[in-house]
Amino acid sequence: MLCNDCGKNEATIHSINYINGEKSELHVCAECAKNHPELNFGFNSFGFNALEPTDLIKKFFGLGNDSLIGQIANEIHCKTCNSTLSDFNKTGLFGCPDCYDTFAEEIIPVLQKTQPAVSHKGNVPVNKEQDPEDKEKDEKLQSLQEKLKKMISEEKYEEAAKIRDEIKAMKGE
Amino acid sequence: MAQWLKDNSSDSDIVISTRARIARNVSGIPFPHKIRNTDKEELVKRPAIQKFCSNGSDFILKEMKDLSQNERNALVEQHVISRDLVGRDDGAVITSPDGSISIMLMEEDHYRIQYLTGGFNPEEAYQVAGNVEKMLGSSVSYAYNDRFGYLTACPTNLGTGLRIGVMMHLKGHVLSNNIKDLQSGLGRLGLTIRGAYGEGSTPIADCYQISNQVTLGISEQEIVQNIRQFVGRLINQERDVRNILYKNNKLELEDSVYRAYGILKNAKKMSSDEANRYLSTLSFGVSLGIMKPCRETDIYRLMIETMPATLRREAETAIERDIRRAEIIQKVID
Ligand SMILES: [Zn+2]
Ligand SMILES: [Zn+2]
Repeated sequence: MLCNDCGKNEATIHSINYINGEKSELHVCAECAKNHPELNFGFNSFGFNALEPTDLIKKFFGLGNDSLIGQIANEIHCKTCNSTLSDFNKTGLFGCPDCYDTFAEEIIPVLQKTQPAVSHKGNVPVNKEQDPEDKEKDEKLQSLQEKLKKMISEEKYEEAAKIRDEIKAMKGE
Repeated sequence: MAQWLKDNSSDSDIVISTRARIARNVSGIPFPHKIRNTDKEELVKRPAIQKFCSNGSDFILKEMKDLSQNERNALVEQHVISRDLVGRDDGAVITSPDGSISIMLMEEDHYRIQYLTGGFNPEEAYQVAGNVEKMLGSSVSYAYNDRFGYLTACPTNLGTGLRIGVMMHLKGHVLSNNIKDLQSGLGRLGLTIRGAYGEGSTPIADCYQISNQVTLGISEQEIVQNIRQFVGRLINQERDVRNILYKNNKLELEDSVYRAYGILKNAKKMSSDEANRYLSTLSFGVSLGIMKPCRETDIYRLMIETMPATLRREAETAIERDIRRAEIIQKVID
């Protein structure tokens, strides 16, 4: 097939578009394709520029150091990691978990625009409510179980039996 | 290599893989870019290594500092680690033997827990990643507060810290010039589309990753359901587009599929770009039933196995590598 535009070269780029069920076709050579910005074939000329989450946040904050928020809040430092909001504006990253307390007022309006809601819904850490005593017990149990494996692998069956009893007792079996 | 790509996985005519990734941090210490050296070894890396790599475990620890640049790049190509981790000499990854589970240490967050599986399987992907997260959580106290959920270095991961990414071969949308529309349409649904290797990467072989953009104020189950619903719809739409294209351009499409096959089958050497282009076209042809020299999954596997860093060997010239690439392809396609 010859190029639709120049009619001389072989058409190497074929564009088929469906808009509301209507088909539109374009067959051109590589040279003439340059005059058709809508032809986005080939990955490098794709101009693929998805709005990444980080960009989204940056956009709402205003890019770079000069953003308004950066200037106003320049004095505030996170007590734990010493980060400021202008550090955040540069990298898009907070310095430590406590930054979310320090900068809560600044971050909440941004999250309101970018997330479904600013209140966590979903899993919570399993050990969050765990009693320290239980935790100690879990750790002890785990180390006993490791010891048990070791004894079995070393064929020290008598010692293994003792450990097994200890584990049973701890589990209240 | 890429053992997580299983045969007969669901929707494998369009979907290459589904991945769930969970971001977590240790409470009470700064995130990786601000952390003290002693903390990163003692409080971040050690508990995870003890948990997953103790005696009798077949999980593998790889420290970035022990890997060459090419070895790191190969892990990125196989989706075992992120591009972000490549540049971090203090980073490490713990993987299951088949590479389907990986726990990245000292990435943007202290931990990035990932499970990768072939085909369209958001439920399974989340379930396994969630289990690994719970295992690690028994050794580590995660940074969390009631309002923001799990705390992450970047606020875009707050809340669940969960991202589910579905890698799709969207040849139909590419050929019909519909990717841009898709991009804005997905944005309205809280999803994003990007190149195969994450943020800012260029699409390779018409493969795109669709993932959830929002993580806070939405539960893990809702994220999984949204992906199931919207990506499920997109899979059908891609099939429809392919069928329309084929119906209206039978000769042209058959011709290009047979040409792609001819070149893949007979070329004596092949660059990575060329391999990707023809493999993408061949996979398209297989899905439409134009020809069936192998399954789509075999083609996806070839796409990964013939990537430059994965294929590279020391002291081999570029031409020798291109010859080997052609040979590898010809062992699979007949
Ligand atoms: Zn022309
Ligand atoms: Zn801080």
